[in-house]
Amino acid sequence: MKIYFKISVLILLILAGCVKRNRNPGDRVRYNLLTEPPSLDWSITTDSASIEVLDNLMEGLTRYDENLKPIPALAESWEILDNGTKYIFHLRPGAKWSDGKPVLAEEFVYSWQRLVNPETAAEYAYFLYPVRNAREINSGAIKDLNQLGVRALDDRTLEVELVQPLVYFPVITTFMVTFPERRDLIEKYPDSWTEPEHLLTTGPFILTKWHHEYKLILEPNPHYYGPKPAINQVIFYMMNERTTELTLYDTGDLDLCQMPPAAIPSYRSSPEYRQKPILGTYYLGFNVLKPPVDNPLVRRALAMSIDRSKFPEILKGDQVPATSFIPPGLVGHNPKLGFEFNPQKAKELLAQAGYPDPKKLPAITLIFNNQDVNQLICEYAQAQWQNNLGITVYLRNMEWKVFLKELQLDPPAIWRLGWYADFPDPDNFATVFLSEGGNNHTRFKSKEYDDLVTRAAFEPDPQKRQELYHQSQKIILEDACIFIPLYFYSVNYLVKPYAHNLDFNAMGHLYFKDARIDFRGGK
Amino acid sequence: MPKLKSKSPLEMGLSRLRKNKSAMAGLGFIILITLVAIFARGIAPFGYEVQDTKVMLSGPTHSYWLGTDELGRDLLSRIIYGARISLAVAYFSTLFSLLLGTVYGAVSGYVGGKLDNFLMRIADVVYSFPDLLLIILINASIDREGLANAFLHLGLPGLIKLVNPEVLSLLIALSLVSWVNIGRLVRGEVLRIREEKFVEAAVALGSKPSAILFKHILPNTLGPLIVTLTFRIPAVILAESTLSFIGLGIQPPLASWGTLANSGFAHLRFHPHLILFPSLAIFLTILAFNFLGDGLRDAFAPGRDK
Amino acid sequence: MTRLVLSRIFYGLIVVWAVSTITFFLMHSVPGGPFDSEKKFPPEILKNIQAKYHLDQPVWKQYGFYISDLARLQFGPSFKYRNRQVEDILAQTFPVSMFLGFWALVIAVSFGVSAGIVSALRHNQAFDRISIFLSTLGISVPGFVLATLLIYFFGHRLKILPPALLEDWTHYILPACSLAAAPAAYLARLSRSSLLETLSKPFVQSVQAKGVSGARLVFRHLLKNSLSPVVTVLGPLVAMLITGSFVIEKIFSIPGMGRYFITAVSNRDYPLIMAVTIVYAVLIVLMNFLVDLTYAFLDPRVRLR
Repeated sequence: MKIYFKISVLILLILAGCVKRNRNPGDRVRYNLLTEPPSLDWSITTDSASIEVLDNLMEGLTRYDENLKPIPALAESWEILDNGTKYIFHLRPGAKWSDGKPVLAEEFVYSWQRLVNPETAAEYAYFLYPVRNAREINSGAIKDLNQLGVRALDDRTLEVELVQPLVYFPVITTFMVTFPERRDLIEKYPDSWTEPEHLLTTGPFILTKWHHEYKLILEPNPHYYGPKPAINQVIFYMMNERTTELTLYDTGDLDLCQMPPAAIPSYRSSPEYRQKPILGTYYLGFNVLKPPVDNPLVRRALAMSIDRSKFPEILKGDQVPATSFIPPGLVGHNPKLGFEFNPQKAKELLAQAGYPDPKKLPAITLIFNNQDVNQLICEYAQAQWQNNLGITVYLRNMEWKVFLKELQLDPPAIWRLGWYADFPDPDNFATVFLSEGGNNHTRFKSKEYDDLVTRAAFEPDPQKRQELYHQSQKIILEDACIFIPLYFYSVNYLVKPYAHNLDFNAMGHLYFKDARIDFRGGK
Repeated sequence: MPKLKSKSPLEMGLSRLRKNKSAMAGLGFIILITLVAIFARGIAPFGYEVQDTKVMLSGPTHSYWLGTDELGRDLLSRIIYGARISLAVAYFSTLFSLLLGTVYGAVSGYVGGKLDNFLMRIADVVYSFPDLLLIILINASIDREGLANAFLHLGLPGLIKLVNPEVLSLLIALSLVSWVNIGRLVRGEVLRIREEKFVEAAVALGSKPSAILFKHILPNTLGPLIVTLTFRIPAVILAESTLSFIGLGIQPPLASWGTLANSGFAHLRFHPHLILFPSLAIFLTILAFNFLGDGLRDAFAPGRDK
Repeated sequence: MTRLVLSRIFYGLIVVWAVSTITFFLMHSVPGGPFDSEKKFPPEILKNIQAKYHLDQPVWKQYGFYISDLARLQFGPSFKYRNRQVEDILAQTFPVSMFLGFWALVIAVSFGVSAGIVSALRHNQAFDRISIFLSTLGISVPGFVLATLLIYFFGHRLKILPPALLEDWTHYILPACSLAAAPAAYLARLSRSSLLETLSKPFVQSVQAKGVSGARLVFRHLLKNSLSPVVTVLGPLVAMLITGSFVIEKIFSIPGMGRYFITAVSNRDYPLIMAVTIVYAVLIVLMNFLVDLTYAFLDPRVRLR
């Protein structure tokens, strides 16, 4: 026993002595991606980890500025013709791939055709449905890919025909599925063109190493048209535990980290702590056909009896309690919409609906997919309804895939979901609840709402647009009350004092091209 | 089997067991924790879902002995209610696997011949695989929502609370895996005992095979069987908590010890009590069963290894 | 001997086939398809995807594709990692798990067997009691609890060992130790009881009577005679390491096969689940095969079934 004790003490001492702490050598940024990007094929992939990486590897026709307005990227300029149904993009003369070859208009045509080609089986193909014949080609009604409404007029000019005028089309071209693709590369390495040995990119970085499920390394693209990044490497790790991530940040193995809620209070006063609202809303939805929530009075009563002011305390990250759906920062945001916390009024509504005794209310089930935050929120809501109305709501949780299936086939009375912006336009939020919208699980159908939302999408005057969104949101939030918004998302993170120009934008994207490491401090 | 006139093997074994301090301590702990699980409602200071949003994530205090979680729920009460799920899963799945394994082993041993050979080959394969792997596969393939919907359509949403589909599915998976040890054991004992004189006599007297099985063979396998069962229960607790910990077992809001530890892991650094206490409950229970099992083996089936 | 080897290989192939068939049908009864995701896609898109992966075919046809692919050692593309072939994923992750498992095994064997030997030699003395107690602890502590404790003290508190990642050898210490604990405890018990049995045999007394003692006695005479049962537990040990790897690789974010398996189960990534299961099956069959051979080799009296 003594020997063992001595040996273990010795081992410990050796360890303590030789473990070096990893100081940033001054030229790299190390960040945790949380999960492996399932694929870096920007036509096929769908999840946020892939998007975070691709945002730094690739650029498309347009990109966002700090205010999330689309600005020229590979396209130097564009013209809008035929009342907004035709766009002509002029490519930048200096736009090159990372092997030095110029970016050609033909490569956009190839990429877009590949996206909508049914054989590609791309889940995001619907992003291009505004383009002429995209839906028909994708569904197989039209076999000829060349019928797609996009053409290369010459090497540097791209013409796009839309089905109807769309005010925000240059926003769509910031999204990864519209990035150009190299036919030669994909045809030569159909299964491995996204691996670092082969991948060619147009953005500020190139992919130099991909150790699957472990880390990705990005290095500057020598042929990028813009200024060279100041850092020589971006390392993305894939660790699926935020507490561990935080410890590695503390020990200097990471330069930037997102925080687990429980850690936020301890770091609030740190100068390294930052917090930013994100364009996204967490809500509880109703199935408006399921009794007893088929009665709007019951739905309103439920909406009024959740005290949202506790959310910042529970989630600890300054999430903004929300009664409305369209988040701050977008046209159409109106915090006055929706119902405030009012348990007294809620009880009256419930009585009005024919349930003076809440015990008589038929059973209500709330489902959620198992994840820490969802569990917290749903258990909190359950307790609120119990305490404020005397209603018992059954909670059921399920795996993500099963949960989604349930929502599509037969949603229970209440469920949780969140909506993050795909692009920073209120239309992206409003269309969620269209009668035929694929993401509308409420079974709510309203011609009036659909008309208002469609009119708003094509309304060029911001004032009038605001008014249209006010009217349409009032329908779903108050009149019909088909869901209960709970809060707007925010991101809480730490950045080392020596790392500069590292911030999330309001879509939760992180761009590394302007990042700088400087130990002397100052900008 | 030598017959002793003065003391029956049972009495001798019991007196040997009584002298074994760690086994008795284990037994005491098991009885205690089982009683706590059964009478959770009376013992727990709070309901397992009662929230006190004024004291979220507090460490141990004198009103919350083991502290509170991120919604201000009392951890002690949650562990007490968690004992219900963890122990119920362990006891019931061991019971099911006992039934399954006994029938399997008895048939295999009693019928013998080709069938025996075939059944034992299957048992060998199942035995050589890691329990957890099989449990994960079986558990993943059971349609829990189907079960839940069946309950709902029967108009019994309350039943879900009582026999949660998650728990039921895990129970099935665990039972389908743990019968093997029991099956092999029972078969071995059957083979041994059926050669004994008194069984031969019973056959000669024209007893039915089933009667022989239940009257003569099974009672004689009881000792080793109890030892095996005592080792199966901690193995099942370990499997359940591990599965729940990696997110493939019981899911919140149901609170088994494994799920409590799972949600506690996120708080490891700042509020370690949230993972420490559920882990301790799991560990102590498994330890108690292992102590008892070692004691039982020494007392009743000396020389026999697991 | 040849006959034995051949029959064992045949038997092993049957087991692998049976396991793959059962896994296939289990996985096809799983509720929730692999391509359900947050944003609902138009039906035409779902149809395209299903056609690509033969999911629109009847189950028996899918089974046919699966078995014929299996015979050619091809598992097709993963559902989740759509640009990667399952066999490539295995080729990358298997070595990681093997490497970690190997070091865990080294730690387990060196600590477990030596603790077992010492406690057998000091039967019923303090060391023996403590080591029995520790090994009972080792068997009773779930892997995730031990890993959590190690992460808490060495990672979060002392900050001397990294709680995740695999940059250099220091990153292997915590996961390898967590993985080794249960097998070490198991080996300690086993080698102790096996050595005790040898010690009670008459030849030991005669050797001792000749004046052989100490290290010479242990290494020359005892170990040779008592380690064969230890060698033959290779099968259960590998099973323990596989089970452990699910938990340890997940907790420490290690890109090994165990972690892939866990995520594949929640992602409904059938090809990956089945492939990993088959790899485990082959591994276990192989280990048992080796164990059988070792048996036959060490003890020629053992007649194999």
